[in-house]
Amino acid sequence: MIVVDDFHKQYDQTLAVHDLSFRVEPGEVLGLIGPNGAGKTTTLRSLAGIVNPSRGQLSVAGHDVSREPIAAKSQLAYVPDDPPNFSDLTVGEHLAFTASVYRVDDAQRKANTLLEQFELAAKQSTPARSLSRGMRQKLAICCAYLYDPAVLLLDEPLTGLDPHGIRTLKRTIRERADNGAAAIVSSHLLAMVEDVCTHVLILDKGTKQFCGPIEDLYRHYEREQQATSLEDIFFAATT
Amino acid sequence: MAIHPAVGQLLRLQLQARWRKMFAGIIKPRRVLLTLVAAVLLCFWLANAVASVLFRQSTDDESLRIYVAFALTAYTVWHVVRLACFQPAQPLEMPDSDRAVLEACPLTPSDLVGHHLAGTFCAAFIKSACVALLLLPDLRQPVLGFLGILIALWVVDLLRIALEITTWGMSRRVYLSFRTIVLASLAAACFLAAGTVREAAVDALAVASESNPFESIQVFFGHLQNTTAAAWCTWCWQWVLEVVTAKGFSSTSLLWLLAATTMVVSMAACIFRLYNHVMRVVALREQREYAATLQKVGRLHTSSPAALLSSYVRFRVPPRLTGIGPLVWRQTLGASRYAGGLCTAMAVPAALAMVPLFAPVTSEAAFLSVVGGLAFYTFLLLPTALKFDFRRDLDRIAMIKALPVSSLGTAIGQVATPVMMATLFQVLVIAIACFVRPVPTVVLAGSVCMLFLMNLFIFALENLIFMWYPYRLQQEGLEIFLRTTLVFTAKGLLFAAALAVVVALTIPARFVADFASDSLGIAVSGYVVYFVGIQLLMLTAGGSLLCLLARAFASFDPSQDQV
Repeated sequence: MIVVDDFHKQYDQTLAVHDLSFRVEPGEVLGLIGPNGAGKTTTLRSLAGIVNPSRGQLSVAGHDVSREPIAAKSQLAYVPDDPPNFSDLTVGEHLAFTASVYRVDDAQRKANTLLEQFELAAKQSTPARSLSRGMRQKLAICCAYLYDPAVLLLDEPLTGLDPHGIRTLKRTIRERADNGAAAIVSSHLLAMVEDVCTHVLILDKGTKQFCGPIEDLYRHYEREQQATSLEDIFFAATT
Repeated sequence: MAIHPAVGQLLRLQLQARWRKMFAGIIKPRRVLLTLVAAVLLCFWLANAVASVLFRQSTDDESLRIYVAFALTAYTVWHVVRLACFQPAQPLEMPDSDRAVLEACPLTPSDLVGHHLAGTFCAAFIKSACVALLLLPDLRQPVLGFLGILIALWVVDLLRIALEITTWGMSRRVYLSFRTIVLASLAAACFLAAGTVREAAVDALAVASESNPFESIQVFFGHLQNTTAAAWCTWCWQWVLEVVTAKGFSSTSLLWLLAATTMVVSMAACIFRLYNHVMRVVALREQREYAATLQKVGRLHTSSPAALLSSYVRFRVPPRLTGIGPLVWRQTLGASRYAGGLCTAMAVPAALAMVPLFAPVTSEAAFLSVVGGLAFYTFLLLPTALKFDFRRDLDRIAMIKALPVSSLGTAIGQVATPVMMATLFQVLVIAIACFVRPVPTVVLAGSVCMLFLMNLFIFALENLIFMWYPYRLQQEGLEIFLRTTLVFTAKGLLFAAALAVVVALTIPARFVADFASDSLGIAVSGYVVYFVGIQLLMLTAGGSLLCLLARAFASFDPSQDQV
């Protein structure tokens, strides 16, 4: 579903990502963890077709992101960290815009369900600029879920969310994965990664330190470095 | 009223950072071509400025006073009208990132105002230096002249800031009343001045047909010089004009300078007080409004104020049209929220473009002059007023890039709204012109068609430059001043080049028409060939620019190119 092969990205004199390869199959949720500047956002942005890779192939739902960007983008939802909504559009207008761009059938019903789910129903006519940070995050997630994407790319999705929002988001990520979606969740909240993810990719200074099922991660680091918690593993892998 | 020393340090560091960023930006390999064009434009602008300083005859004192007074009044009126049309979202205009940091710092409101005023003073200083250089032949005492211009420009900025703070603090009802009063006053002033301006325009146009355009401008202002409005303008600005036109360092001129300095310092001090006062008033009003909401909740037995304030609406999905539809819909929706202000902002170029209707020439000539005027103002002014395209989406480029829409589709979708709005504006002006001075339908249709293609060209170009050299809409300072100057110079040159091409096209058009009738036996009018040729040329140029814009958008890297 998501295939990254020999991916490199360089910004001026900085090598942001070096020789990264991994796969995420339908039903899997990959937790992308690593220190600041590890290359997590660059990887997600490249998968979303926002940044061009310096080398390598990235494909989403069978479509090469560089060669078939439109087909790939139609299948994926990217929710960036601090999503920059269209400030003068209302919540309802954001959903109308998304429904049109992604050709969503029965958008009204789906939108109302999502708004209820994320407690935004009463804010349909509120402009995005008047929403709180957490509400803007919820709006971005509602827009992303509206067209039932095959691939979810979530960058720090819990930032600003209230406990209700966090629980709903974690539950819905798992539900969507169970229904066949592939997801990558980048986060510094290791407890969230443990709760939601089936696989983990640890990046440090643009290089892959580990990639595989979360059970293998525990086994590997317990055997090699006596690290038993995800926090211990994180420090062992990134120092 | 001591300002925190960190504010001064911050301003210095921000200034250094801007310089660093500007130089880092212009030497980037992918911007080298545009940097070279900018360097050529800068040389051209400087050469033109130096030549005008060296060879221009000095203006007499009385005319200089009138010109400066009119310019300052027009600049002030522009700010008043702009603020009557667009209520500011914040009391002090600054980038959100600056605001987020500064408001979280242990700084007083006065420190924030001090930071803002110091920033505008730096900008006024640079503008004044440039204006003083251009007016060098007219200034009797350059140092006093520069100081006078600096004080005058900063006073206009202070008036703008005071008005921004005041209008931000107005309730919706008060703001609408303010808007009505300003627009009604403007309409009344236009109505009263129409007769005099019409006479001045007719005389200026008569001179324009016989001599150079500069003389016609002098004739135009000469007419206005003896009016009551001119007397009022000069009287209002007298305290600055005495410094600008001072002949030397005499006790009188130094006294005027002292008076002007005292005036500007007092205004700055008033702004500190005004800011604190307006903040208090707004806080009290919000408390009153909330108390009223709570009372209403009690009366209606509603569970909570939030339930009372919320509403539930349905939405309509815009047509997709390969992804262009929702982009256009979204930009148009944004523009519709500024409809009142946009109409007012466009009224001035519309009025100026219609001046040739009064000229004693044939209907066709008057109509074509209106079209030419519209083209000129569209070239210079409309791209600044109609920023409903990539220019207001700098922070959302990543989001737009993630949409499943092709680069070309995105470029078309983003540029379509201002192009359509500009065309609509031109069609309205042309309809009025046609009503006053009727012309054949073919001329009318041809003009509309040409203006549409020109709009496409202009907005594609404007967005292309933005994609290569992005900037923030709220940004101020030397970089933006330099950018605006160079872009205006480039537009002026481009307009002149376009005129030359339009004239030069008559030769191949005649050749093609003759060739068609002589060699192919097809009788075709030279005018038709000429008209079709121009349209094809504009279409090719506009289409090419759109393709370039799509490429620039595709290669825009939000991680690196964000400013």
